[in-house]
Amino acid sequence: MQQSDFGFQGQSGGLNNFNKQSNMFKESQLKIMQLESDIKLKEMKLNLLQLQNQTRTAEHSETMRQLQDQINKIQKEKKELIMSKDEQIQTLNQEINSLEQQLIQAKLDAATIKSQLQEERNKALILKRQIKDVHKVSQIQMASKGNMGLTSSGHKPRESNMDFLKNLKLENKSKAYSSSNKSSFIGGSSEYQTNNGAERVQGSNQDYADHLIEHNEQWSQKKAIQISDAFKEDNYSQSQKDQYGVEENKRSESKADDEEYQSVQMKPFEDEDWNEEMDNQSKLKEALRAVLRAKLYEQVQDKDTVKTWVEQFLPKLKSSKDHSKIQTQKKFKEALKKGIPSEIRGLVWQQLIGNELRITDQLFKLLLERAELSEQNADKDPVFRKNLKVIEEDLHRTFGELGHFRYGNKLYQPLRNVLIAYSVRINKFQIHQQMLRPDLGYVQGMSYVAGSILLHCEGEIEAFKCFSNLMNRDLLFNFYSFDMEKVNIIFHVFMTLMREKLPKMYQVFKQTNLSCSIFLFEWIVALYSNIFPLETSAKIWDQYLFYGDFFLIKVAIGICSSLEQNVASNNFEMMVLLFKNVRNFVTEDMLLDSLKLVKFNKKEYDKLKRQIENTPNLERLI
Amino acid sequence: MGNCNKKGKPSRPSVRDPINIRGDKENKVSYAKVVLIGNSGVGKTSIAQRFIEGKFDENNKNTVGASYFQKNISFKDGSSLCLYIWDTAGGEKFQALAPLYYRVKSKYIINIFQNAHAAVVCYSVTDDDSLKQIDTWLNKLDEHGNIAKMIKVVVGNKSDVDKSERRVDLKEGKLFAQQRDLPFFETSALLNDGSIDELFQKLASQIKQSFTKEELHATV
Repeated sequence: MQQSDFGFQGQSGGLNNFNKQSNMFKESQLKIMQLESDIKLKEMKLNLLQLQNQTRTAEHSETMRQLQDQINKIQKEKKELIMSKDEQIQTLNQEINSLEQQLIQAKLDAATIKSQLQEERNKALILKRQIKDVHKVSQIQMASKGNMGLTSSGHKPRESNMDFLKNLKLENKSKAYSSSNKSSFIGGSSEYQTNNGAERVQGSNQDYADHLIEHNEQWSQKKAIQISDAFKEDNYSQSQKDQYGVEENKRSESKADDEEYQSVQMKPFEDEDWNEEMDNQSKLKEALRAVLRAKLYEQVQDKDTVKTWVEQFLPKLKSSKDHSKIQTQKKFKEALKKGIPSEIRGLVWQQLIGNELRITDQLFKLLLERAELSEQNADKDPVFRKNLKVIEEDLHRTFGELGHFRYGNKLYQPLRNVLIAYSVRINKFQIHQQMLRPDLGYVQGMSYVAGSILLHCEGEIEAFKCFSNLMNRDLLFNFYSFDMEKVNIIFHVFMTLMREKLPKMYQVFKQTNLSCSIFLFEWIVALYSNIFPLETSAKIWDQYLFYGDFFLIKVAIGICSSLEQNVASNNFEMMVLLFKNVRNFVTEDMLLDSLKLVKFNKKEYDKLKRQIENTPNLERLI
Repeated sequence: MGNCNKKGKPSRPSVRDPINIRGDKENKVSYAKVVLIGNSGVGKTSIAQRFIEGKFDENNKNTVGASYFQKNISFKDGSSLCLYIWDTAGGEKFQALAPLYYRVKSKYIINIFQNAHAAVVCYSVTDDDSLKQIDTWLNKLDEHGNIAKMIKVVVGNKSDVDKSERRVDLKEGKLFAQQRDLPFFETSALLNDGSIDELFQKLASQIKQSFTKEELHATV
């Protein structure tokens, strides 16, 4: 029992402990529960917060979406706006383009109209002059008739007559007077010229001409012969009026001497019935003589330049084969730039071209004979026949507007002979075969070269020499023989120069894919004679013949430079129109100006050419 | 403005007016490249001149290389076609000049038959040889042209000449073209008889029929 007491006691002491512990446990459990509920609460709160957050984010995302939509909308609108602006810009660009084209077109039209106008003006001028001349002559006739009644008193009529002559002289100083007009004028009306008179006048004219141009033998002789020819034709008419002829002559000679003039004039008047008519005629004749004199005077107006050419330059050109003496002369180059006076252009050209091929008169004759033979047996020589056909077709079309080379006109036969002699196959003549080019035959374009020469050089033999030697020049030969590789090199040279000298134009070429072959070939082949008026192309020739091939390329660059201002759009068709109508856009002055601006010399050309020649695979390079 | 360069020819459809063409949003106008070929002296330049300027120039020059013209043709339906006409140098020796235009393939050398929509192959009724040469020209077109549908027409020019000067009859020319299945025209550039306008009008409508609009954006 005690034990149990003890046990109890012990037990009760343990129970207390237990109770304490269980209380503590309970307390802690409660605490735990409280904590747990706290946690739960907090979790709940958190959840709530999260939920709240979620709803908020959802709201946010919605607003975000809305905003995005708005942004999208705005962007779309912007895009549309930009698109429409682009379209507008495009249309505007198109308009600009079209306006530019219109401008070019208008320029083209204006230029053509201008040239037409100029032509008409020239025609009108010539007509006016003709009318004036006829008027003057009739006035003189009238005056002389009117004066007949007073002739016994002498002085007055003569004075008025002289006045008329003076007027006439002045009248005819004007340059534009066409020489053909004059010659027909003189030829047509001087039929009353008597034998003696003819000789005298001829003599005096020759003296006159000699006096004016003493230094140019060839030229003065030519002129004198021309003049004498004109009078000889009229020599045979009315030989019965010899006696009056002598008198008239005296009178015409001694114009300065008043008294003699008067006495001579009186004689026929007193003696014969038809004096009146005779006097008329003589006065008419005097007027005509004045015209002739005026013509000569006109030719000598440029006397000084002609003189320097004849006295200084020509002999030097003649004496030095390679023209080295004259090469360095600034004065010569300046004169060359101004153009060789047309009177002696032919002679100077002959000197400048030279005769490297040693073409002789005999060779030309042989060739012509050979050609005649071939012509007779044309059936056996189809190549020659074809050449002949094309030549015949081209003759009248060469400088068609001048008409010099049409059938029946003065230069028809010479041009035909030159071209035929050049294109005839001469395999039977071994002598000169290596020099002439029977392989070339006739190529269209040659007629322009030969025609230009014939217009300036007299005589077909001289022209033939010039022509065949010219054809032997590097550039021309390569082009006429269609050596495409070499032509290609020249095109490269040209394009390279364009890139250097005219970058703006070069860009347009690139952008439009324009090929210089469209124009350059025909420019060079015809030596610019088909795109410029005769006088301009002659001036180009003057320098080309002296400076050589490089000058042709320089001119091409010069033309492009003159055209540059007209390039308004990058339109291929417009560019082609521009380059095919150079005549309407580039005047002589413009060309000469741009030639001054283009800095480019022979050395550069040679260097560039060599460089391009040495470029491997040139054709594929570009 | 298309008319300002040809005074006194108001009846003609407006010419050389590529501007309106470009500005035209409905894109009614198309372009076509036409080459004029044939022997030398058959009158190719005169044909072009008659068509473009409405005149005949007795002093015409021989063509070295090629000339270029353009002219608008209007159709009844209000659309129009701009013709880019290349007038080539003919003749025996053009065949020597020809490589320039079609043999060498260099950037600076173009083929004149490239992209041509139509070819007017000309002969002269005064020259039977020029008729025979037409086959040579046709062969060249086949060889160097790159458009298979290219329209070819045979044209006998100088129909105005006296009977005594005529070497090729109308019948002969017609037959020649018929055998090759090509349209045939006889024209006179000298007379203002409308023959050349007719030729180009018909050619233009033929081009319009045969080519789609996309194909009619010629690069010259």
